[in-house]
Amino acid sequence: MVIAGIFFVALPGVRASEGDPRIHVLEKKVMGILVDMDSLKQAGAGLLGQSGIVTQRIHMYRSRESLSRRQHRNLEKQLQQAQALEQQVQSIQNKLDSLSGEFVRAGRILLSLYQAELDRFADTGTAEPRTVRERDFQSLLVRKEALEKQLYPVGIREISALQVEAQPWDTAPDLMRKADLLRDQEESFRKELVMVDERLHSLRQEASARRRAEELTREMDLFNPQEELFARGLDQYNAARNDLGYWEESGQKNPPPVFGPGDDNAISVPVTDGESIEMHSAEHATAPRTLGSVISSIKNLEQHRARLLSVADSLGRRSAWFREQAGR
Amino acid sequence: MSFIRTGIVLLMMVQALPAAPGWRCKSHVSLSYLHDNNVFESLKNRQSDHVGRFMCQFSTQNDFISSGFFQAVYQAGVEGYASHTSENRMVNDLNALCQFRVRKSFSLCLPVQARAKTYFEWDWGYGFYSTEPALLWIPSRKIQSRLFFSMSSFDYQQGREYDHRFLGWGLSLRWEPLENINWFVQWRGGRLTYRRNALQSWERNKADEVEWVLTGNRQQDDLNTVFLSLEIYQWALFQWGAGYQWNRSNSVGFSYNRPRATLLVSKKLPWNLTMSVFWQRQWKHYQDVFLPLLQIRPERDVEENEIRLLELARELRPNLSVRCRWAWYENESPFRDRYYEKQRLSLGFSLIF
Repeated sequence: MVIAGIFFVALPGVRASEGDPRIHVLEKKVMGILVDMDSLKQAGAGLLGQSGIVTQRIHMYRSRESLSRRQHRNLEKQLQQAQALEQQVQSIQNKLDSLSGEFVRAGRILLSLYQAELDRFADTGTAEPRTVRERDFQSLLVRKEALEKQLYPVGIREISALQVEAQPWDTAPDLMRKADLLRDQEESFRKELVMVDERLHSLRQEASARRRAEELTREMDLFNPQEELFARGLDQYNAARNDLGYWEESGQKNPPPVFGPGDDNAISVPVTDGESIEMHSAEHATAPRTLGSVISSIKNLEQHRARLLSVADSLGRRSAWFREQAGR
Repeated sequence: MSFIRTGIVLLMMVQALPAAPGWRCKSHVSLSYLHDNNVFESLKNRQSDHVGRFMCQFSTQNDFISSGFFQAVYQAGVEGYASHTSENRMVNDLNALCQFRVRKSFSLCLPVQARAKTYFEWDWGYGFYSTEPALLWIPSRKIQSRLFFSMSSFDYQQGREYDHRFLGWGLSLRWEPLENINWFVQWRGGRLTYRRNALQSWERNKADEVEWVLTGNRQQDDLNTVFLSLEIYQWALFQWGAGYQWNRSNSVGFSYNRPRATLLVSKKLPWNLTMSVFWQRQWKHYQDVFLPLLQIRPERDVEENEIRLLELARELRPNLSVRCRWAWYENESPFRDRYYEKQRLSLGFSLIF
């Protein structure tokens, strides 16, 4: 929890509350949420570890050809324990989902307050000493960027390039080896890029198909009795919420377009579901799969692709440089 | 006219809202031309006409409630006929929804909906109001279930005997066992109470005609519907649905069983084209031997026996699309066992901003 650390360090010394008292209050709230989430994740990791051990034991018992009565009892106990652990993990996951929602909401408000405060600093009319202003400005900027990273994660996973440096004592074969290492990693990233492109292509096709299915029903809902019947159950709210870009921004799931009951006397009210915010992974934000979640996945994958491309290009350039140096 | 006023107020609100923090707003406009070959849905002497449509939608959302949200959607549409101007009409729709979490995996949801359909040249149309409060239970990301209660009311400007109220409840479950595969199952039941009295049939009279008399009781229909659908995205988007509805009425000639099947396929093609195909078929079986002429509720009582629809759309820009659609309908006429057909061909633009 990098951001929690930053808040911990930054809060005591900053004068953020001078500008807008809500910043201080919200920072405390966000910090509290992050700490809670952190402890829940730790607890979840512990439970998963226990679950792994229990699973191994169960596997061990099951792989035996015959079991004694005592071993049977033990196996039953292990199975019960595994079930209990699974329930606990699910409970923790639910709590995490709830906290994620709170964090996103509070974080967004906090970001807007940071921005307002930064704008205020940019205003030359403030009569504070320049050094104090600059310090506060930098502090706010750091916290804003940290919060932004937490709220809008850039990549689906971290992309780490090899840290290979040329040393004065490197011989030509050494430099060539380093160039090869860099080129190998570049090729691996290029291969991943091809896969990402294929995935993006597939997701875009899916989004397009889903969008048309929703628009088709929305346009036909208004005028005629036939169309009312036809469109019933494919609620307008899905389309409206997709239009609002709600899920694109938050990675939130929306209810899938489902053909409703189709009875003439049923009310064509929207089918809605609970909210559940997936913050870190576009791949996880797809259940149940809907237009909103697909669009969210596309956006995350596009960001990932841009980063992958940049790193691959950089690796290619560095590899070429090493080769050039080796050739001299 | 109150709906139009509401619409104008909402439009102004929507325009003002982007300045307010936490509000998200979008607008959607569509314009289309269509040719209808059976405007009055008749068995013989079909009248065709050219129709123009304009529809706009404003949506807004705010997360002002802790662990919840509020959203409102207002849409209005105008439909104008080239030759049969008496059919020119306007529809106003207002939907609002508030949803918030009450416990870790339980949420409450309160949607309300209102619709007014009015004709420009004559006093015809209806108002429809409904609410469906629901309790949502989402134990995991793969399962969502919903317990809901339905209340709705239909009020016609003319033909008050067709006014009715609906009171019911239901359960639904959505399950995603694998990625790209969604199951949905729903049961819905309730009672419809009409303002008109129930019909009672007598046996054949001396002239060998079936005699119909009105009872002293209001017509009440007990409706139950089960619906199951499967959605798969594999190469294309496939949505299959199968339903079964049974209606038991205290009025003779209105009890029926009705199985229903639907299929929607949508596929992205080269050149930014998307093709969609929709098909629906119902098999309605009445329970009574003697059937009176179907009392057609103005605007609402028509049930499709079959729909076939084909659409080709092209995205010109991310927010602008053009589409061409052909649809064929087969509907039940007031003579029960006779069905009329109609076809529609339309061309439309859609813009989101």
